[in-house]
Amino acid sequence: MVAGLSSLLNTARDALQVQSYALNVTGQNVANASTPLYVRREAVIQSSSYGTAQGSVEVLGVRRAADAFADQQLFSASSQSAAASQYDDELSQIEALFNDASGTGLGSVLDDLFSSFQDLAASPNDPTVRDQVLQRIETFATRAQSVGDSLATQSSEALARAIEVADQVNARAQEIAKLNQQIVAAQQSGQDASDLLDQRNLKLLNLSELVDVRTVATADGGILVQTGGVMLVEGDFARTLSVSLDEDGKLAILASRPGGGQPETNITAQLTGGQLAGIKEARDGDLFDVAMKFNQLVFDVATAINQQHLQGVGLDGVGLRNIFDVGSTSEDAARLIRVSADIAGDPEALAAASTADGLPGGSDNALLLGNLVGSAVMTGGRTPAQAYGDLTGTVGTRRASAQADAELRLTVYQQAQTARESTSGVSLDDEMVALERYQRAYQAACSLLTVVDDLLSELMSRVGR
Amino acid sequence: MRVTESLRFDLVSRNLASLRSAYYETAQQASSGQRITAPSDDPIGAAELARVRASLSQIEGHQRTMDLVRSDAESAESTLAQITTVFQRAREIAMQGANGSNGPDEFQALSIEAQQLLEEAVGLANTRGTRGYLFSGTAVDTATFDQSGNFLANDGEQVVQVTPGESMVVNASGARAFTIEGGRETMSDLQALVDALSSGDTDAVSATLDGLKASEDQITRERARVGLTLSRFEFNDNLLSDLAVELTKRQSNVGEVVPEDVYSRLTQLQESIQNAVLVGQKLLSLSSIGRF
Repeated sequence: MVAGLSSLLNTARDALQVQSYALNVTGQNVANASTPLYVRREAVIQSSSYGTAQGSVEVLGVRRAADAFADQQLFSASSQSAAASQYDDELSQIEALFNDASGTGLGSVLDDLFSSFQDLAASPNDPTVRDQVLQRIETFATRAQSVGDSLATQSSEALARAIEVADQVNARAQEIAKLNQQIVAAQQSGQDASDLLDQRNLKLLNLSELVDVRTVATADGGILVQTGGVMLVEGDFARTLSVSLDEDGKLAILASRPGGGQPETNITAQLTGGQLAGIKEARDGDLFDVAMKFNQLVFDVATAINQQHLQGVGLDGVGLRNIFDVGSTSEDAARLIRVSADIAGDPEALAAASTADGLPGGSDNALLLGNLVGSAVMTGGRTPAQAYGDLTGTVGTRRASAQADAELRLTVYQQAQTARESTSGVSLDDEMVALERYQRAYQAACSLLTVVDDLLSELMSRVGR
Repeated sequence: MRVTESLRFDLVSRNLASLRSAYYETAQQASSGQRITAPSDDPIGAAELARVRASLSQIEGHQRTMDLVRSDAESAESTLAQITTVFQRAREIAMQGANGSNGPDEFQALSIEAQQLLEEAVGLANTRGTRGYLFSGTAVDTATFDQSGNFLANDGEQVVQVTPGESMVVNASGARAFTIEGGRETMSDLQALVDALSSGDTDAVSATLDGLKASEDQITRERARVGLTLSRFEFNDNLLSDLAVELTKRQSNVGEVVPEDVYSRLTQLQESIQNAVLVGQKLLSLSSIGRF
């Protein structure tokens, strides 16, 4: 049995509908060619039939060219890259404090201090030289303080940044949980959730820049998000992260428990990616180390100078004076160091001579003070200049490897972007061809309609005669 | 591989960005002449630079120290030379007074001159330098002798570090030059001459000759020692200059760019950027965008 002309009309109508639907989808792709994380769509079309012989066409829906694996790669590469680049940023700030090439270091101050003692040995009773020595002593103390203060400020700023990042994590997690809910609802009611899925991916990418992210899709269209070993988002529920300091003054990153149970889960050690991990590593690892080493350096220099200075007498014959007040341990020495009240503002109190008998031309103690520059008075048997060189070397090495790591991670991230883009991105070449194809098909369907229309009117005119 | 619009644009922009950043870095090196602008550029080199800089600053310190003490040592040397001539003249007078043909008038005249010589010697021994009295040891604010030729100062040494490995005594010792510390009380020898001439005692005058000679020798010995110190300064100065040259060379090897290298790299990068721009234009013009 051959189908009638009227059903051919239906076929032509279906074809027009289907091709214009496909044109719509193509249009959407073209419009979103540069939308971040937009996943290109394809209209899924299949042939259908009315009854047994009359063939037609229908739209099954839209297919997203998504690749869950490529997405996961993108998120984890983004986490690693963000962690490395944040870490590098933090270290660059530490490095800036020890950059003798740009004049911010302590190296020249240290050199000047010791060479001023040598000058004092040459001219022990010259008031100008004494003034200069005192000035160099003050410069050393204030420079050490300012570096110590800057290190402390960096540490507290890093804490503030960590708290800010945690706030952003919480906002993103909430948004993802909400999108989960909307996606599940849309899919249950048979609606197209493509836009929501794109949005959720974008939020996940944002989240991956802040913390490490592992995702597992659930059957209902929702997604589980794992961060630092705990479920950050599960269905429509999101945990909150908070940042505080533990008893050692290091960052403690805590995840709330469902239902607000106590104690909160400490995920500090498990956190491996995102800006939060970069901040944590730089603040509690390197910044902490560098500050400790710097405090030790300042403490050792000040103590060695004090010990030698105590042995001598000032121009007034009085001995047992300190040059620096620095406390009894190296803890926080850089911030605590001050010019001792024993000598502050009193250049005559500088003990160039070792005994009152040698006044005022005696300079044996000044000689010994100057000789400290080449003596192994520092922790680890180093001279002051060597110890300072070691410290800048350490800072430089760490920064250099952080830079290299950040570059490597960025390359990996770019590769992941390429891989994802290659499967899911919009190619205008493809879209142009698709546009051409659907346009032609639409035109053909129009022709079909015209032919059927012609035939029908031919028929009508003959039947009606 | 499926190439999408974003990939095309990203490729162009990433390549250009990385070339630009390399160009910027190289330009920074070229304009500053410094290879290491931050410790991370070359951590080992930066640590080396810090050590070299510290050594250079030490050397400058030693050179400055020597400059400060050299003028005093030079004055001490020439003052001691003048004092020896005073003693030579004293011996001449003593010999004149000892030849037995002098009348009271001659003795009177010779004794006046001897007194003047004593005052001159005391005055010279009390010469001041930059630190204070040259021959007063560490008591630099105390005159070495009072008007009667009594030694008031001490034998304190001034020791300074003159090279990284050597410290030395740089002041002339008044005690050793003029007092029993060196063997004889020189001013007493002069005083003895004055006394002998005033008394007109030929034998007594003759007896002072040996003492005066010994005193002169004693002062000459100290002068020679100061001379040695000065030549040691010269030697060390040369040593330090050589060291400083070596260190400066090391500093520029480690820390500075080789201009030819950096300019040729700059030119290369410039070309690379131009090429990248051209390729980018081609790549982007190949897109179907034109068809839409």
